[in-house]
Amino acid sequence: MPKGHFPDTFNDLLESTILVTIATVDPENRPQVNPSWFLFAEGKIWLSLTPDKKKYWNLRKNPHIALCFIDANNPQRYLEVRGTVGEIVEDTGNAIINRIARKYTGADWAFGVPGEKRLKTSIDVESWTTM
Amino acid sequence: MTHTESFMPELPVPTRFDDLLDSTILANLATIGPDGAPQVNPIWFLRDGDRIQFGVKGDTQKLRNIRREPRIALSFLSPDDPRHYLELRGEVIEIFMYDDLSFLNLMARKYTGADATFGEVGEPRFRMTFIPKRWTGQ
Repeated sequence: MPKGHFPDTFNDLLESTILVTIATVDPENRPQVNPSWFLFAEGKIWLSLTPDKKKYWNLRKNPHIALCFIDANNPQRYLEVRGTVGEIVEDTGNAIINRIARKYTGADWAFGVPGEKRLKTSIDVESWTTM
Repeated sequence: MTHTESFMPELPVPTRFDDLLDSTILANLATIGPDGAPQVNPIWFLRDGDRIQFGVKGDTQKLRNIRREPRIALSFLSPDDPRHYLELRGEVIEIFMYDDLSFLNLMARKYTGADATFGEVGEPRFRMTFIPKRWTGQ
């Protein structure tokens, strides 16, 4: 499994509107896996989190994460990234969730509860693999 | 606040997810590695009633992970509607070794309509039988 950052030959996947599949580890050391929106910007993979999701609590306790990006047009082609989440901080002014929502829906985030606090984090990549 | 299993409904998995479980989409398999970190890969799968079967090649990290920690998770995402998905968490209850390509060919016929164009008789492969314990999805 190659160590370090993945090559830019996967940028088409990272810049597309596919959902990423995220694996986290729960407090009993069992995996969980969910589809998620994401953003690839400034060379980093960004996620938007909210405290009402188990995924967030998993990552607070165990920052290890794996992400799988599958080519929608060719399912044989995928990128798996493994690493840890960086610091989970407030998404001030909804900056990241708005960028993510604009990517997927063409408009700012409009689905949250008014006043809800959104959080953001980016992935510190340790290794990657592909088909 | 802590994690809670009450977020996850009990079995059985509702039949509204049959379209995913009976389709030829790839599932995403999450396992736990030796360092406690997760890994996730797309896989072929075969539904068998309330169980899910999938294959793993011999001498792979995935096989070692499942032998050490049979509690895994599988996700199924609709290619047509990104809001429609199913996650199953549960356990691999049987690891069956075979070396005659039989299960690989069964899966290949589901996904490609023909026997597998790869693999050799004599090389060990493993058929995993998974039972879900919890599900979530929409």
